[in-house]
Amino acid sequence: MILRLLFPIFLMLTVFLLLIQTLNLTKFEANGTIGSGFLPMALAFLLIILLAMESFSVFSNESKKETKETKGTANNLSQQLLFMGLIILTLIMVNVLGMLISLGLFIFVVLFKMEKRSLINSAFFSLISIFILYITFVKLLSISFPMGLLD
Amino acid sequence: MELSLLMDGLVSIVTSPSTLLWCMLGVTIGTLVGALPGIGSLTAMAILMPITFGVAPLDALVLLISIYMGGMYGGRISSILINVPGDAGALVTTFDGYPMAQQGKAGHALTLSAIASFIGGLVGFLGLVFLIGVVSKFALSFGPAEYFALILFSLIASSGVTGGKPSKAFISVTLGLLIAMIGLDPLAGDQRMTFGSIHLWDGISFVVVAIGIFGLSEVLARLESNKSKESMFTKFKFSSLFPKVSEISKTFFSMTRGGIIGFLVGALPGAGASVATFLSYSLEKKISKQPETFGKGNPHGLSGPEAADNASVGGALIPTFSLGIPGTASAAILLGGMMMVGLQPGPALLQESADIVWGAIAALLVANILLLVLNTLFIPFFAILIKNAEPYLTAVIASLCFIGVYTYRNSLFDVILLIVFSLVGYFMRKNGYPLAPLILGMILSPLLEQNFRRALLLSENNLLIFVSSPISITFVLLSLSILILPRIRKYKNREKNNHTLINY
Repeated sequence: MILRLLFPIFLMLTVFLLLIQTLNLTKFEANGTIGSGFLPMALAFLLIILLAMESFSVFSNESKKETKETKGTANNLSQQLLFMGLIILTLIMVNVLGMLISLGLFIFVVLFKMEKRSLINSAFFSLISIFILYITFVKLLSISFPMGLLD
Repeated sequence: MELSLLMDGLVSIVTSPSTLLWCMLGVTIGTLVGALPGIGSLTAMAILMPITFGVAPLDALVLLISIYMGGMYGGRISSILINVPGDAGALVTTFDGYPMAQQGKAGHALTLSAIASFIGGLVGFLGLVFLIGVVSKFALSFGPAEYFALILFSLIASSGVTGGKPSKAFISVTLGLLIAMIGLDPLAGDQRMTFGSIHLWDGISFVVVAIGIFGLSEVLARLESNKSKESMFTKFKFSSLFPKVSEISKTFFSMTRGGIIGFLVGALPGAGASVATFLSYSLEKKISKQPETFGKGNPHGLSGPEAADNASVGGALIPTFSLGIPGTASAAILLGGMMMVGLQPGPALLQESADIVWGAIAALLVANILLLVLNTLFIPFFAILIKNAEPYLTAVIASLCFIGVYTYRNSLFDVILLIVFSLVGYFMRKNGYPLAPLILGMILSPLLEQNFRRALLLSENNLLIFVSSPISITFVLLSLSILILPRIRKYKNREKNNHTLINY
């Protein structure tokens, strides 16, 4: 139940922060027309009320009955955490190694560690992928990336 | 008038090698991605949208429409061969398509469904061509109040608040509206909810959010459900994949009926392909002389819904092109793509950018023809792909999301936002919040706010302006009715059940 409550509560807190930001904005102009802060504040209020109702509904429903909850296995959770960790690491490495090398390494590690592909298969696929990305984005669409080591 | 514009559009596509190439590329990639298990046209569009950033407006729209259509075609392949639909619209295809494949008729089912998709796409295209002008002319009479009422109606209808969990749909759509308001206010220039960060001045782009919640969060969901280790293994013979043309003509009327249903339902905000396919399936079953064979490989149960699925694209594009109001999440992404290439969606679009819009509509026909060829001649290739692609999906989808978001504004901050929204999308999925309303809310938020403020400015803050014309009254009443009527029906059903129990 706590897990199911966490998401609406987290959203509620985030929206509350946004609501605080809207407090400094003009709600009504001097001529009486609505200002830039009116709708964001109204929506933030509405959202907090809806989320509070949702949290209450989750709380009361869960107290009454056992609900089916799909729980990921520990292995799946570790896969997800590894994946997010790799994404964040890639993000950090982009400015150092460059976009293409970082993504190449990302693809290689995902295939080798998470999908248990062979070393050669992972390396070959990551090289091919990076080559296709380079041709598509850099050569064909003329989009520039941080090139890092390749600069 | 419309036909001559359409002909111009067709000529501009078939005589421009680059546009034709983008169209071919779009249908191929769309089919490839749509054919991957669990990935529908919506995810395909979200992941592949960044490819459109560097190309000319018409080419970008042609590419997006081709991916959209390709994804719709592709979705049926995994439904038939491995019983895993790409999206809700392809779910009904599994009912009779998969049993046909199990009976060794995979080739027949794939060819039949490709032809049904073509007929459906053609019906949708014709409906779009003949109705878009009428709707657009009618919409030109809309003022800000009417437009606000229309957007409100579309949001309520499209977000699924009439469904089983209206509060979650409301939360999703309101969150989308609020996120889109982050950044500089377009009228006063004030910073809104930016926390003083210069990165947020331009707001949070729907590109980042769409790729995050539909693309990267899909990877997280796949990792959890362990899709790479399950699902795959319905054996099929490659010899059975080659087309057999017998019996196809018998289902022609099912395809036509499905096409008409799909087009009409697709044009309604919120109804979309899934409702159309279910309606078509139940109609075919109802009028069949052998209803007991449905669900066991009846070709009519496959061809009707498949036609409805593709015809719904033409229907969904009517409000998108003529009003600037997307009826479905895929249409919302298309609309976002239009905005990114500098088009201003709304009733004036058809007048101001007629060449591009009619070019895009013509692309629907060209893409449909290319897809028929692609999906009948190259089926074995897609089957091989489905069998072997799964282990590479995590890496490929994530890389495309990463690079796509970065290329949008050359900003690593957007990649951070991508990670945040992928987590938001993942937890929304896990907690049963629908994702599509969030994107619809984000796309329609600027229009909603603009028209709300403009209407109040014109009326000197008189709220009655929103119920002062027959058009706006109609939309307000429609909005209220779709909000209230399902609740009344639910209440009545509950009362009836209680009454029955007491009598019993």
